[in-house]
Amino acid sequence: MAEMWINIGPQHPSTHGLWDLRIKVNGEVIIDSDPQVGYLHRSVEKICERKEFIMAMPMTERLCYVANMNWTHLYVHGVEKLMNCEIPDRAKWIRVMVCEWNRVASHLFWLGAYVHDIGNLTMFLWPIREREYVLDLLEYITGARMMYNYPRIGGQVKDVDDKFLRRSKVVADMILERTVEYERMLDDSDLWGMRTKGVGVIDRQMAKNAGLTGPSLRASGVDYDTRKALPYWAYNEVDFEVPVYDEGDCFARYRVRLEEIRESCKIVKQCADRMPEGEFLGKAPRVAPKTSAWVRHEDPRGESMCWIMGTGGKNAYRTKFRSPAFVNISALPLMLLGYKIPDVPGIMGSIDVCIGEVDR
Amino acid sequence: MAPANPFDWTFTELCGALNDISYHVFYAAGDLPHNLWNILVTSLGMSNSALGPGQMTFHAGIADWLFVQNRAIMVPLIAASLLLMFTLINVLMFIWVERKLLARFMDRRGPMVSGPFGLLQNVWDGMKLLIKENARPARAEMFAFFLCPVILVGSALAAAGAIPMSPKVMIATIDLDLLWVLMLFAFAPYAVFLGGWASYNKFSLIGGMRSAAQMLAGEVPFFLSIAGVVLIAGSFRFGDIVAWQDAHGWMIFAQPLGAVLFTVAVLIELERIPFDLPEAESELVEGWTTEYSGLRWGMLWLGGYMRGYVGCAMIVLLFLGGWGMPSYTIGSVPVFAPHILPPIVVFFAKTYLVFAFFVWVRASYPRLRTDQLLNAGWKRLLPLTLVNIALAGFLIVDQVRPGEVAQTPLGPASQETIVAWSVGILTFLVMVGAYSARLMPRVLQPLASTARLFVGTLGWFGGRPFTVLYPYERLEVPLSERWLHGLSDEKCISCARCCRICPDNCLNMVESEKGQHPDPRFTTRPALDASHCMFCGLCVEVCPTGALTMGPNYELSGFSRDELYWSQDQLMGYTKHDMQENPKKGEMEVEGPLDKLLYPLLTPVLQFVTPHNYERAKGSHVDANVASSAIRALGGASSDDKEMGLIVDNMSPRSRKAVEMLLEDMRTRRKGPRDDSAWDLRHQRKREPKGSGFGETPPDEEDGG
Amino acid sequence: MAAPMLPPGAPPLPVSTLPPAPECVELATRIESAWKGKVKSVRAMNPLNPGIQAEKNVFVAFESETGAMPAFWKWLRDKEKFDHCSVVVAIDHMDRIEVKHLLFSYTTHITVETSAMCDRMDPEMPSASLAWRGANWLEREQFDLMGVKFIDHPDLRRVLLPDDWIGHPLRKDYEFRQAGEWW
Repeated sequence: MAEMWINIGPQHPSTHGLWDLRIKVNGEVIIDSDPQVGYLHRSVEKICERKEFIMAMPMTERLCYVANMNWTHLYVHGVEKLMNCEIPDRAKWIRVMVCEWNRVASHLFWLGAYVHDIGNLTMFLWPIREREYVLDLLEYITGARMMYNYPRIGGQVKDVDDKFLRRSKVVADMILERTVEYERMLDDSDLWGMRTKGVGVIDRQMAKNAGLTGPSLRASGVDYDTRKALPYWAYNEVDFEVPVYDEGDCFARYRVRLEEIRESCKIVKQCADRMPEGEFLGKAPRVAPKTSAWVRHEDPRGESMCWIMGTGGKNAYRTKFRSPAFVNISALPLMLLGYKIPDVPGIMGSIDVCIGEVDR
Repeated sequence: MAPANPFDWTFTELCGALNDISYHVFYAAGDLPHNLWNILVTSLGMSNSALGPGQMTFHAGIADWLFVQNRAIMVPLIAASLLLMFTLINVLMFIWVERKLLARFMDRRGPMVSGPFGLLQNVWDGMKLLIKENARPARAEMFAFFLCPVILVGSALAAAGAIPMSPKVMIATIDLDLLWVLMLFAFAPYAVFLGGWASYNKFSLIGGMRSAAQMLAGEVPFFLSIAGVVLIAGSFRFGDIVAWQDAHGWMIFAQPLGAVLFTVAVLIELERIPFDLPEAESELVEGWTTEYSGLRWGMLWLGGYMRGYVGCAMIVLLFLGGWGMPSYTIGSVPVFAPHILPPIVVFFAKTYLVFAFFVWVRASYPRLRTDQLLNAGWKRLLPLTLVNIALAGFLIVDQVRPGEVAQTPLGPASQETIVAWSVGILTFLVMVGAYSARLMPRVLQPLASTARLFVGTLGWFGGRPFTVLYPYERLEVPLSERWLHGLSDEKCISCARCCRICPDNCLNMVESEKGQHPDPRFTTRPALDASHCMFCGLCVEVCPTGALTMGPNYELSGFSRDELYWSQDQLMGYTKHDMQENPKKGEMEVEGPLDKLLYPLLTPVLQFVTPHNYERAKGSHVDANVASSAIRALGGASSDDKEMGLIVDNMSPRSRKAVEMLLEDMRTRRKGPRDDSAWDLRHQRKREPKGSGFGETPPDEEDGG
Repeated sequence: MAAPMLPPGAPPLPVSTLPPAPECVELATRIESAWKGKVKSVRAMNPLNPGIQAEKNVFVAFESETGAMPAFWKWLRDKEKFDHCSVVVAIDHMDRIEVKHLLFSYTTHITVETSAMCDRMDPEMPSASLAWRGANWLEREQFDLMGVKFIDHPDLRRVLLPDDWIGHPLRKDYEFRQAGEWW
């Protein structure tokens, strides 16, 4: 068969978002690739220039809607850095706790969608079911299942109470048990291994150079996690490990995320035990100075950054979000070369794309 | 001889009598389809025993012409339509079993609403497909495009016609039954490839080629794995094979390897998981069926399930004893007696159980890539089928006496020939296997992991599903849930902060018709455009008096855009107070007397609680007012502020300052009605100044752009 | 805190009293000695507030003379082991466009921020995608939204907006009707 360009998308059940992965195939083997994004571009950065900080925050929620606690807190953190405003201790620990819960929810959702793409229908629903418990918890404190709108400049809008902390520990224990069940179903399974081991390999040097970050980078052997390297909030006070694998294939990325679910559950339990008393919302200035500030976060998908430049008023002059999935998609062609068409959903799913943050 | 009066019978005689009765009743019931067939046939004048040539039951000429002179046409027609109806009903039940069982493996419920237990769901799905457009691509090859479903369904039906369901109920039977069915199965790759090619679509082409390659890889193991059965039973007829199994026990014990190979080959042929890559929706949309829509697509699916029925029926007939029930006796006491159930019921029970096994496989495994599958088919299945034939040869070798030549269906065979062939095949394979010595360990470990995955899927089976049957059941939603707004008329002071803070300009102030606030200055109230609202809750937070709240009513859809514009009346009617008083407000009615009766009865029976069933988060019963707005409770600093309820004890300093600024503002303001038209942002949205960039809407026709 | 951008007549900015990390200071001296004359200014930045986030920043300004930038980036990547280009930002000050590249080292956790000024009418500057592949799409995005052309970029075309879009939306003078189409 001759060479031809095939569009996987933009309407496709397994792209998990609205984007178009164009691949050039020779028979069944992929020889080139050209992802096209931008179908969900909502010009959030331009909107942030015209709205006050607090009004722009619901926009940032819609950036990555699966891990939206991380993105709203990223934005608010950036604004706080711009205003040089520190937040109370309790707010720091609450932020760590909810961001880790959202990481767990995001990784569980990724796992469900990923095994569904590979074909295992039952394993799709089990992580989704676990995620429902996490969403129930976050609904309890914020009032919404997905668009939480939780942080404010200076802290959080509502407090967490003891019931939430107790329930968090119960749910974290339950999820820790169930990850063992997922491992048993998937790790030793030959069929799973045939689809994911040795597929979509990217080596260390190329991963670093291509800007790949997050679990995909750690699966290629680079031991880097923003929460450990440049800690923020209470991350230097909680005890957790960073899983690193060397192979760089889809199986390694799956293992990194599974173990990250475990580590996040451990962090949540520590936060629930050590939550300090005090205020949850501190004082914040009304206006931001005309300087600029960067913050870096460890998003479930990689390293996200927010750069804000103030105008001296209540809104920003320029806001820039660095989306990890955007750069991960640009590294995707390197992972696809030489593999076959049926491997595409596997490789595409293993880098965990969320188009809201890619397109902004 | 038993006494005449049944009350005088002993226990043994009673049991014997019951046995006799059940024997006769069930045997007669088992005869029922045959008897009905006889009645039908006799009344239509088609039976050879009831009528001779020239004899008529009907006196009308047309009936004579149809059913006597042209009986060669009418009999097949009626038989074919009966076959079609019967197979369709079977297929619908198969699809129902698949959907329900797959759902239970996945901890959800499957079709629940159409008909009791969702039995009519597939009927309605078929109707839906009927009313859809039968689109076809403009440049598709018309003849081939139309032909593909015809071949698929036609071959499947013809194969279904050769399947006997009981010794007396069958559509047709020939000497080479088995070969007939195998041949018809082999039509499918041709149809699939034709459909994929004719669609004029890259995805379909690739999918069609993959599918054809996969089916071809499955054909050869498909045929060869039952060669052993044929050798042992000595005939190609289904009836003979089942009779052999009645006499000697189920074939699965004589040919275990053959049974496993045949099952795998059937899964490959049917394109079920783990072999469903050609039609996997996450790969190339729908694969080779992408361009098919409406009933034509329904036909493809139907053909697939018909072949599924035929495949399962073949497994039952060839390996599981067909319509016979195993009978075991200890001494002379029948432990498990035959003829309890009519053979046709036994046959269908077994077929559905085999299909349930296929569904279990589907729920457990991911799918194999095509090249991995072809690898497995040609390199692993095929040698194993040859091993199987050799083993079968060993089994029948003593049926042929030395020196004699027997006529087996595969040709003449003497003992020497059989032994020579078997030894030759085995030696060849051992030599091949010696080269790939790593084959052996790679056989056992995957088997273990495969078995573990299979059994692990059972983990949640039979427990209470995690899903709720909306709208008959609803989850409890915490009261702090941020959904539709409620407005308290007494508290609103028309400050319009909610309008200003809304990121999407959803709220605007309108004149209130029934202002109940004691102060005549506060005459405007917010109205909400819920079609834009993203329920962020900023408006509730900013409201200094706590007049605007958000409640847990999330059922907001309507039939027109106007229904989403919540004016003052509607907002005031949905305050938290109302929701607490009348929680069923807005709930949907459960329809139908049967549903109302069945669901409360069946729910506790069908679902029991497993220890893992974690209680979903119940309502927090924390008032959103308390949690999110400045006012914690009524109570305050100064007397007139207290009456207004504006300043309270545990306000945050920021809110306190805001309310103090507001009060100051109010004290110095001029008396008289306020002009809030500047806040009427909704009507002003179309007139945003140029260059502001946001909220710009298309130019009005009347404006002239 | 990044380099302060002061519009004329602005009040002074808050200054941090914390000293910069020693690695940053050493790196700044190495850059200064190796690239004297080609770089306008090098500064190891004072961390503003470790309570908000810990950081190690070095700011390198190239102003309008961007000719040495490709060589500088390659030197950073090979000699100083900066293996990751984090982000590329283009800012539209009304009279010029500033483009920042943030480069990160996974071993020392130092961020080097290079800043270049481009003419607003026809902004051009060298591309870092020859040194780091990760900068490829980031620069495409800034070209798409701000109009900055990156010289020697292997594949400079729009990434977020449709290919036939006219105009660069993040500029301060962009109007919706200007593009000729709206949604």
